[in-house]
Amino acid sequence: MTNQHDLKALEQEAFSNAYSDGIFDLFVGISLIWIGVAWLWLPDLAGLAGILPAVFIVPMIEIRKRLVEPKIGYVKWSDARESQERRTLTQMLGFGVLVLAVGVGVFFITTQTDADTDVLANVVPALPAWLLGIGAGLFGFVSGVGRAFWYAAILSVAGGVTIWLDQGPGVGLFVSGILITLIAVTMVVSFFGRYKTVEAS
Amino acid sequence: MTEPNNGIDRLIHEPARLTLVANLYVVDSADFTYLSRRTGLTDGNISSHMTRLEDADYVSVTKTFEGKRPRTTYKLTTTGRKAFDKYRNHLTGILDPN
Repeated sequence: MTNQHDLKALEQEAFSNAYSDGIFDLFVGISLIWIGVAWLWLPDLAGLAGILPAVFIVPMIEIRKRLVEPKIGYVKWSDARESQERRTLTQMLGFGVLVLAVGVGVFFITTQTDADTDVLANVVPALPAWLLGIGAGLFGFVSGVGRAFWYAAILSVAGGVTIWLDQGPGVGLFVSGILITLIAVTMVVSFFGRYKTVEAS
Repeated sequence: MTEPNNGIDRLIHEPARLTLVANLYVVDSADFTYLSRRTGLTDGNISSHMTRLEDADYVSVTKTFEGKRPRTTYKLTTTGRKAFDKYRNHLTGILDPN
């Protein structure tokens, strides 16, 4: 029956379902592939590779809205949900700043100091994937979107494999991007196959 | 619109309307397509039930255009939210008196 618990589950299910189209996941996967490619084959651009996804995120949101909303309808979430989304965004931005600070700190320690950095140097290549994995896990925790935990696992394993293979950060990010993109393509195909007709409201 | 002797709001208690009201309760507002996708009800079903809910002032209806596409947006009114809260509390009292 529609008790408080069920209404919470109903809202969460509605919210998760509203983002089941896979377009945002596709964006994340392609971004990771791009960053991995830049790191592997365009080292001069590696530092700037993350800027391209940031530039395209707003157009991506608009494109997604135009493609998805006619299929699943328009909804304005409750004030509580929108507050939570703003908090999530703030937390993710804060986490991004933390990641940047960690990256700068690691760079400083490994290049500018005399500290014994052998251990640090061994794990540095895995840090981008691991930190992104932590970010994905945090996102899954605060938003309730379950597949974010799978993405966190993919990125974490990719980081570990990077160390095991003694490769640079690009490999882990590239492979993670491929896997996430494959998942996203499956979601996109499933979504647009499920919602073929645009219903007039 | 309520209540026979057992106190249950029959307007909300009808299964299709209960689904519609519950889905509107957990959001601020939603359009016809959203409710159609969420509930699986037919267009005619949704229209007739929403008309009854609107007549009882449980739901407000706004008709606009998104570009060239018509959009009908539904929102539970304060009366509708209070009625749903009352309905839920009443059922909880019946089903779980402890």
